[in-house]
Amino acid sequence: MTERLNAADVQRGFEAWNSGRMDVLRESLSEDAVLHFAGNNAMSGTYQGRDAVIDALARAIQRWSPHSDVESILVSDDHLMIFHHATGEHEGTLYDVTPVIAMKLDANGKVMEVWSLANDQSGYDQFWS
Amino acid sequence: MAEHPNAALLREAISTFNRGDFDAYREYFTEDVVWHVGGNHPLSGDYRGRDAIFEYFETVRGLTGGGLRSEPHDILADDSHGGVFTRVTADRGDRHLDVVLAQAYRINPDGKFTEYWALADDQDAVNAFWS
Repeated sequence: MTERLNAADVQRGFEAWNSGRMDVLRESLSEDAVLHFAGNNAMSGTYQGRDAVIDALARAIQRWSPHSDVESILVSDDHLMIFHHATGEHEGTLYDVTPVIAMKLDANGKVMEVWSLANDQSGYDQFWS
Repeated sequence: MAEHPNAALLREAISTFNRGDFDAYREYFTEDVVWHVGGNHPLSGDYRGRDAIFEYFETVRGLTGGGLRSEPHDILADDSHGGVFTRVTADRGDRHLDVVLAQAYRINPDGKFTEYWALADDQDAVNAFWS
């Protein structure tokens, strides 16, 4: 049986995101991981390959210092979906949005594709502007 | 492991949408549901309330000749959330859409959808299709 990411791994990933532990995030990604980032903002777009994904995430953390609290984690054999509250401050304005991180896993339990979906796209665009 | 009731609910709802039975599909939504259509195209935005959402669905049906299909390959759920990974295909004149959407749903205790948002693996293709 292959090793699967579980809820504890997800919590660890979010702690790594909140504290900027890029080594932990890197370990969870497959080499050819793809990140789709929603909206029309400075982070939006598709990032191809583990290095590009890690660069994008590192840029997000350095510039915006976002903080995420997990609301709910859904798990299947091949996918994860995490509802979370993201809060942060950018140029004096406070933001509080509820994005979803959706992930597709490969046979080794590594993340091969990530979608970051915004429910409040304009709030999300302001957050990442 | 048995499928979560909300996963079965989502499967049924999507099948109802694909059949084009909008009278039945309406029953899956609360009156004050909010439907977020992401991206950067003429249909993007927040649709508030079931009537507004069904006007949007009618627009989509009109633009695609009723041929938009959603084929889920994985459905995840807990008591108040749903997640669907689905291949969406449609034709509009000589334009063809074929993308994978990750869709998030909030579901109330009565089994009705209260909020929805989604993102495609190729959002540029979605934007171009609806523009």
